Amino acid sequence: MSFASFVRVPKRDPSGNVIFGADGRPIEGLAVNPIKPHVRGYWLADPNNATLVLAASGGANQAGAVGELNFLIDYQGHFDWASIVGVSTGAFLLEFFDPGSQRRLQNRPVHSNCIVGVGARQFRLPEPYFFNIGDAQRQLKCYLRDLSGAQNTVRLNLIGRRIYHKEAPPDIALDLERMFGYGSRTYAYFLVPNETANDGTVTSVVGNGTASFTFESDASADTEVQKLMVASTGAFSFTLRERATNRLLMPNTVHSQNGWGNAEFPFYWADTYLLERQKQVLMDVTDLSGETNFIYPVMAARRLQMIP
Amino acid sequence: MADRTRLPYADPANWARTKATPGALRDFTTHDYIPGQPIPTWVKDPETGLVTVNELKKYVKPFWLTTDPDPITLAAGELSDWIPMVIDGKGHFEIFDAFFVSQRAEGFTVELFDPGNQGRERPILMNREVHVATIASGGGVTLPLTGALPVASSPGRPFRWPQSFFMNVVSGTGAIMARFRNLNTTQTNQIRFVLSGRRWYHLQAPWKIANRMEEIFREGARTFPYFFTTDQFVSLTALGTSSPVLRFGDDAFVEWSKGMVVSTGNFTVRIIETATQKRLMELPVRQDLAFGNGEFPFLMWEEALFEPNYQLTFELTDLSNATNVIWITLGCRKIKVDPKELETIRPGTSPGRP
Repeated sequence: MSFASFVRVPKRDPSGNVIFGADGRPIEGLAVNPIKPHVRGYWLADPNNATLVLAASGGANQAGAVGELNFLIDYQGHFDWASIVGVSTGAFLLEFFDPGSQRRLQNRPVHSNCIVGVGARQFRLPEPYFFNIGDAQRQLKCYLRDLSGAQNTVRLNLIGRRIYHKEAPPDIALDLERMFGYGSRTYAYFLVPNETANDGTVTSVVGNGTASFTFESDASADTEVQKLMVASTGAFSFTLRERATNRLLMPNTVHSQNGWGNAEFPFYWADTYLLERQKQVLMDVTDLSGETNFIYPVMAARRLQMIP
Repeated sequence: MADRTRLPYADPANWARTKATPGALRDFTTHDYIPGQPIPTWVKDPETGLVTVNELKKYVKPFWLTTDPDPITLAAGELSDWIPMVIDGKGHFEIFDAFFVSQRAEGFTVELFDPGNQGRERPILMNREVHVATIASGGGVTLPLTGALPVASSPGRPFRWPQSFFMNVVSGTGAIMARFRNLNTTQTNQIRFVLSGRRWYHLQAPWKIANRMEEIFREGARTFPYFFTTDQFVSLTALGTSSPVLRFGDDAFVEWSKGMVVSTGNFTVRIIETATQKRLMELPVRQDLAFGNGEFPFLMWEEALFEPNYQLTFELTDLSNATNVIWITLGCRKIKVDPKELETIRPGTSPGRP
């Protein structure tokens, strides 16, 4: 939620005492939210790479040339990352790593069509990711691999808000620190099937064939899945099943277009799905295209990590 | 006093009917009105706990406001006269959305003002003419992943103004004045422009409900939508640069919530707060990563609040290698704060404080 620009506050006399009306209630006035002027929308980019060119290599749907973007957050204020936007000449895989917290934001590389939107349809993170800059700059590394098989020019920006607490009056700065100190307990996470190789390559499904993918919440945190996205070279049908309980999330197969969206229009469940630690969800797919099908499903989630 | 505080829907005549209402025991809102949202049809009477029809709802209806005449035919490059969009005097009108149809792909520009509010410090709704596709839906849209979404489906993607606009038909003239400019300089352009919202038929309502409507309208009088574009017309030469500025007025605080652009080619933008030199992005960002359009606007996750008379500088660089005409529009709302109510926030009153 963004900060309210205006708030109603009790009126006070010059001594700071609340003024009460005849009915015994404080008399209220409209005032600028003192925090708001110190918070601004912000587009984050790699300061050295407005665009990144991935050399042609591999082939279509083969993890190819690797590039790296370093998103630097200077020491002016915290950064609360909310969405991903980008444009490219072809598809690519991406991985995020936060060196400050030694945290990977996905278990395997993620297909760009699943989590990279544009200004008109930003891809919102399931949970804003907070960078507490402390007294030094922070960094987010992003590793990109071409999937197009041709030279691939990529522009990638992260959008969020800067909290300029260092230039705020001390009491406001303190408020901001208190408010955002809790932000690091949960964080955004992308869940990709365990069958995906470490470089992001997926095993294709043969025409009209079947395959099974495993989404697993590892032992370090519970995972709350909010939305589903997929990139594929053809249509498929699927079922989702909890391994531990053998409970199906649908009585019969569902077409991919009825259950998976993309970065611009993700599929939302009616309610979020909690995948507890070390639990698995199995996705059984059947190709409907009749041709070799490269399927890149992604579950956008947030991780609930207990900090003692 | 009792009449003022008693909610209009708490009418004993309706109580018997509510007993047969399916789901009447489930949770329903007790509010007859929630700003910016549809009027609740069913409400729970806080006095009885019964669910009943919201009496307010009976006198609030959807409404489209059109130009007169409609359609309008503009000659090549023509700037029209001021054209009235008139509503009758039966009730107030609250504008939420805007739609358009343009025969030519170039579209047209729009200027709007409410003559009924001249002298009341909110006569116009934009600082200069803006491209219609940045404040209204109707041009279709193409997205990198999803592809083309045609004009025929544009009504399903209404451009919701950053703030609804209350038109008072009693103290005002009951009209919006609109002026259009055909951006096709070689052909005529047949256009349509429609404002969509809801009518508050307070003059036909029982006095208690009419009073409630007037009360709601007074609450909305301090805020209204406003569209800001660059102070000057922007046309970049091939691979050229320009740094137009945008100055917010000195009459109100401005909250920027949506960003839209129409251009003839790609370009990069870097937005800088002129006074503080605070940059909203370290590096220039391509326009489609910083702005949306009238059908899918760029939604600011953190709405930006600017003090009166603030100025933004837009550093623009063409990427198209051709002359690039750029229409940037910031969807904002103006908030007029009564100086008498502007209280100094003292320690202990900050909303962020535990």
